[in-house]
Order: sequence, then structure tokens, then C-alpha cells
Amino acid sequence: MTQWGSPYKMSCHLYLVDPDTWETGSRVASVKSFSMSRSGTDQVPLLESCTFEMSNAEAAREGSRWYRMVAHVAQKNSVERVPIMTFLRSDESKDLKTTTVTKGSGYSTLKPADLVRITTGDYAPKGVDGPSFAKKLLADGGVLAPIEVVGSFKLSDYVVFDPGMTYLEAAWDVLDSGGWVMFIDPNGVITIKEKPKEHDLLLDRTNAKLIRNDVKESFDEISVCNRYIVPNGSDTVICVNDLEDSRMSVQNRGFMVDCVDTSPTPVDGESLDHYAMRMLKESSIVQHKYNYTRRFYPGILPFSLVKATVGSLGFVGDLRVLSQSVSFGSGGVKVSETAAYEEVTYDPWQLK
Amino acid sequence: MAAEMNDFELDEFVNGIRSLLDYEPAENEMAGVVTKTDSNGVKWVRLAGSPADTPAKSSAVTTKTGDLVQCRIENNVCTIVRNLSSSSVTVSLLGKAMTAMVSGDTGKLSTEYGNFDDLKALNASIENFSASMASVKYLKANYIDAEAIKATYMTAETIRANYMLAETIEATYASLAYLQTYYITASQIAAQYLSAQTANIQYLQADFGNLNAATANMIKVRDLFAKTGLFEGVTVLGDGTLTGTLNATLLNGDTARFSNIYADAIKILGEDGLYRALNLRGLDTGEQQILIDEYGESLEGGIHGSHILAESITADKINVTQLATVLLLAQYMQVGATGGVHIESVGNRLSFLIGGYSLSTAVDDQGNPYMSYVAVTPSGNENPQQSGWYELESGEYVRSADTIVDSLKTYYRLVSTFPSDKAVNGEVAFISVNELDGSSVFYMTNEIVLKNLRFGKWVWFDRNSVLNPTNTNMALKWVG
Repeated sequence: MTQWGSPYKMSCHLYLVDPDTWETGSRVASVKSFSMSRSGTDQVPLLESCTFEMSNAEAAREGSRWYRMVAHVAQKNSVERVPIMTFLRSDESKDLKTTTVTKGSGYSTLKPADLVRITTGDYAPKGVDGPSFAKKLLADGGVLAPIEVVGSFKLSDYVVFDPGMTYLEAAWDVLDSGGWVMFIDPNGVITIKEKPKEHDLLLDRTNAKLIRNDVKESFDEISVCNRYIVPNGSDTVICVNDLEDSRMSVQNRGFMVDCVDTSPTPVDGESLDHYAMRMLKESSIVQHKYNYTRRFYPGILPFSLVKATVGSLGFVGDLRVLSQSVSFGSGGVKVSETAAYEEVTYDPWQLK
Repeated sequence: MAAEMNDFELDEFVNGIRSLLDYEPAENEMAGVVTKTDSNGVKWVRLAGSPADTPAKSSAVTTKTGDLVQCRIENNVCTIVRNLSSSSVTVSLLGKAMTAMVSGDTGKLSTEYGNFDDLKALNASIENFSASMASVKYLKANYIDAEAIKATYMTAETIRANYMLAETIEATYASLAYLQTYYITASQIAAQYLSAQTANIQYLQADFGNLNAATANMIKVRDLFAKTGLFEGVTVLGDGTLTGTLNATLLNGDTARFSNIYADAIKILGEDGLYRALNLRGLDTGEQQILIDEYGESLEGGIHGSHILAESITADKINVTQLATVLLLAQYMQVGATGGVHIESVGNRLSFLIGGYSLSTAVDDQGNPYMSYVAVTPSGNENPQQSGWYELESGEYVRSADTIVDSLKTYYRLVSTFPSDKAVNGEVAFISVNELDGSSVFYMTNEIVLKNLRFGKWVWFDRNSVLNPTNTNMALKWVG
């Protein structure tokens, strides 16, 4: 096993992927450069994408197929093969006169389900197992990669899909209703599970050196709600953050910021009052974003939890990874990552 | 029979029409029909274009099964936002209004646009009449302008036609500007232009002829155009020109000039049976000849010349004593089949297969060059058990011992007060220098506690070292 905190040497190679067995096939070529972006925000339902450069001669040998980027990591005269990303090779461009390099890009294994649209009026039934239903949507949408489900939750209400929505967007809607997410591992395997509550990386004194010395923090509080309104005819529910100990309460801020919810989705048996309080708690979270570069460390994906225990890094606590970009090239491996610490400013149950 | 609408119905109808006209559905709205209400009070709607029912909420709109409704899908909830069936414009009210409009007090139908499945009228006076098909028993018209007329029998006083197609024409006298016919029986024909399927002619003289097959003892032709031709001998007088393709077994001539020659084989024989020259440079000196014998198969002389300029050379074997001082490869060079030697270069990287090992240059996570190797079986599979890497000495990463020592002497004075009990957060490289012969050993790590260093070690910090903030370049430091 490679010790990622210790020196190592790495080269990157492209392999074909057998679409039937999903096993790594024959080696295609070494790439000149490879970079990938991963994001867990709503705007990027595909979760990850990549760009790469290879020679024209190598690019011409294969067509649009499934590929796996594998790093050969050498340390102490042993070589370990570490998968980096599995992708569907897509659009390419090359200047036939002035260069010998083909630039290409790749989509994540979720891409097929983003190309097929659901039938008007389709919905996820109330009471079904949400993760399993999302898995079925992905499979029906044409996803070839293995899909694993860890755990379950029941849908508290019908989830009706917007007309024109893709199978992938529909699957995300089902998972969103339970606060669940998807992960894509470097082999392209999709895992459906809850957001991790245990950290995937502990930045203690030993691992602190994985982080470079350019940590930046940013946050935006102006849109954080301190009043949550659920219109319901004459019985409109209004929940106000008026807690003295909350720095985002109406009296402590001196002004009100409203969130209006015209389509409330309370869970089974939940009153509208309780629902409004719960939603105000979620809407009054201040997200402190940390942007930093670090050494390569596999297994850290969007939604992963990074726990920092060393004060010298500039932050201490649990960080949820929002996005990251990883580039492999002549400059070595560079990882730029954005993670967020979520400050809960309204929690009436804990404060009682 | 005139339909009756009282004032209340008329107001209801007009207001209903206005509300329908004023209502603009949002993009996420669509029509549907309520199919049922289940035991939990959920309305089920068959949306337009959907093959199945969809659960819907209708808290603000009263509906019943069978109602035509407008639904909005938003935030994963389908909501009935309007009951179209309970609109003021009901089907029965609409029927009444239509009946009143058609057969009202005037008894006249006045409409800008009408679409009828069946229209019957005793008398019809139509300004413009357009029909995809009309069946008329008796048609009397002052003027008929038609693209085609098909008639079983027609009697006409005068027929004028630009083109006529007839199976039989019987005429006492015919004066024709152009005649095309399958068979002609005539004692004499005098025609300016004649077109015939078959003609057997003893003597033909024509200004212009277009013949599928001709059998003649002699033909005088000014211009001859033929798709195929069999000629015993062709003689072109003057500066004749042949265009298109000429197929011939043998061509004899004093001089032949062609823009392009495409041939399976070309043999050029001189007086002594030898090929003389092709594309000569320096014709007068005769130095730039390419010599072969008259039998191409037994070529022994090879190709001799001062320069061979070619964009591509394909050969099973190229025997070269000296290829070039510098070999430039634009993309890659491959020699032999799989298992042979394969050299490939992309950008500043080089990989090749030799001696059963695949070798490739690359850079490590710090951007420094090295070469990795992995054994390759005869079947082409890589064996990771036989693999490893070597450092490549290039760039400023590894320097010669003399350069290192010179650098060390410079930086030694700068860091003589370096705190020896601090840990370094950053990349650190060590160079162990043999003071006797100046040789050095190089290795690196991420973190080191300097107080554990032994004397005689050179330490190289990178520019990111937090303990070396003032030095923007690489710093080599002596600890001892």
C-alpha cells in the first residue's frame, strides 16, 4: 500500500474498460496530461468530468468508449496501480497542422441516464424504498456501471417528476427527498447512500502535511434565513429565529431574511409547525468554505467528510467536500479542493 | 330551429370565453382528466401525453372524476390549479351558442372560415373554388386551363398542342416540325432531324448523328461521340484530341505527353534494353540516374542517388549504415511487430518496448523526471511483479557534485544561525556529500526534524519552506 504522506513517483496510463464485466482491459496509451473535476453541487448532477491530452496517433486507434485512468505509483521499488477515474470518452479537437496532440474530454458513468427523458407524469410512489427506486431509474436510463445501495429510506410522499426531466435528474430528486447522495468511485462504480457522518480523511499532526500552505476561507451570510414562511391558506405557518444565543436571530442581526416555502414536504406524521422549525434550522446554516491545495490522497470525493484536528492548518472541525479538481501532468499531481464547515445558527431543540 | 340563450346564459358564456382567453398556462402546466380519488383522498389525473395516471393535490380546487383540469408540476408535486370542466363555458353552453350562430334570426351562415365534413346546397355561388377532387355530371365552362386532360372520347373543332402523345393518328395530310415514332413506312423521307429506334442504311451522310447501333459500309462523320468503340485502326490527323478514357493494348508513337500516368507497371526500354532515366536532376551530367535492369523482378542495382526526398517510405527492410546524427520523430516510430522494438515520443516524454520490458519516462508528483519499467510477456500483457523505476538526472533537480558543493558554500553562510530544533513543513531534499571524492547521494522526504541530522549532511529546502520565507530560490543549507 502506498504511503501517500511519503515520497512516491507516479505515471498515468489509459486503459479500456470492458462494458460487460466492468473490468480493466488492455492499456491504450499514456496520456500527456489528465485533469478531472468533481462537484457535489446541484448544478452538476453528473458529479465528475475530465479532460485529457494524448497523441493523435494514439487517439486515432480507439473510438468513443469507456476508459479507465490508472496511476502507476512507485514507492520503495514496488509499483501499485491506483485507479483514478472511469469515464466515457467524448468530444475531441485537434489542430491537424500545428500539433500532434488530441485534446479530449470524458463524462462520468452517470452520463447515459442524462441523455434519456422520463415520460410525462412519471412519479416515485409514496412508501417505496427511495434508494432502490433511484437505482432502478439509473439502470432504466442506461447506466452500465455497477450501482450499489447502502441502507434504505421510505418515501414519505409521492415524488412527481417535472416534464422533460432526465432519468438522472429524477434519480437525484428521489434521493434529495431523503437527503441522500450518490458517489462515484475511481472504478466508476456508483454508490447510493447517506451523506457520510464519519470522516474519510483525518488531518491530524501526521496527515497535516497533505495540506499545502495556501488555505483560503470565505462565507456569505446575507442569504441565511431567520424567518421561514409556509403559506397554507388562512393557516400560514411562520417560524422566526428569535433566540438570544443565535447570532443570526432577528434581534441580533437587526433585520429579517425570509424563506418562503410554497411546496412543503413534511415527513410522515410531521406537523407543519415542526416542519417549518426543521426547515429554518437547515436554512439558517452558515457555510464556511475553505479552498486549499493538497497532496493527492485517493478516496476523497464530493460529500466526503474531512476532519481537521490541527489548529495550525487554520481550521478545526468537520469539513464537507463540495468540489475538487485533480490534474496530472508535467508538474506532478495537483489537487485543489473546496470544502465547507457548516455552522448551525438555529437549533431550538438543542438549546432547550 | 333557432336556439335560445337567455341573458344569464349569454353573460355566463361571454365571461367564460373571456376568462379562457385571458388565462395563459405556465410552462410547467398541462391539461389532464381526473380519473379517480383514492381512499387517502389523493386525486389521480391522466395528464395529456401520459400513458398512466399521476397523483395530484387539489387543495384549492374542487374536482370530481371526469373533470378536465389544468395541473402544475413543481418541486416534485403535481397540483391541480384549475378545473376547466367547471368553467362557465360548458359543452352544452357552447353547443347552444354554436346553434344560435348558425341558424339565428337571419337564417344565414356568415363565417370567415368554415370546416365542414358534409356540405349540401341547392344553389352555391362561390367566388373562388378549390377542391382536391370534384365529380361533376355536366361541366360547362367558357375557358378550361388544365395541366392534363384525360378523356375517353373527345370531339374538338380545333386542337392546338405543344406536345401530343397518341397511339394512333390517321391524317389525310400532316405537316410536322418534329416527328418521333417507333416505325415508319414511307417511300421517301426528307427530314431535317430524324430519330429512329432501328435503321439499316446503305449510305448515310449526316451533319449530326446520335446512333445506338450502326451498320454501314462507310460513315462520314464530322464529330463522333461514342461510349464504346471497336476500331481496326484509328488515325488522328492534325492536332487531334482524345478526351475521356482510351483503352488500348498497344500504343505506338514518337512522342507521348501526359499530365498523369496511372499504371500497374511501367517498363521503359532504351536502345540497349535498359531503363534510362526518370525525373532527372542534372540531365547533362548523368549523375542523378536511377538504374534498373529490364526485368523489374530481378532488381539488384537498387536505387542510387544523392538525395531521396519522400513524405512516406514503406518497406519491409531498410538497411542503413548511419541513419542520421539526430533523429527527429514527430509522433512515434514503430519497428517490427508486437514484441519487437517500439519507440514512441509524445511531447517531452519517451516510452519504448525493448528486451521484454516496457520503459517510459514520466514525472513524479513533484514534477521531476524518472523512468519506469515493467516486464511485458510475449502475449503483450504487463507483469507488475517485474517493475520499478529509476531517477533520471536532468534539470536542476539533481546536479553534479561540483555544482552542489559550490552552491552549498554559498548558502552555508546564509543559514549559519538556522534553528536546529524546528521541524520543517515543506518538501526537503538531502544530499549526502562524500568529502573525499565529492560524490553525492540524493534523496528526499516531506518532513524532518533538523536536530536529528548528522553532521556532513547538505539540506535543500524548496521555495515553499515556511522556515525560509526570505529566500525566493532553492536554498541549500549546511547542517553541521
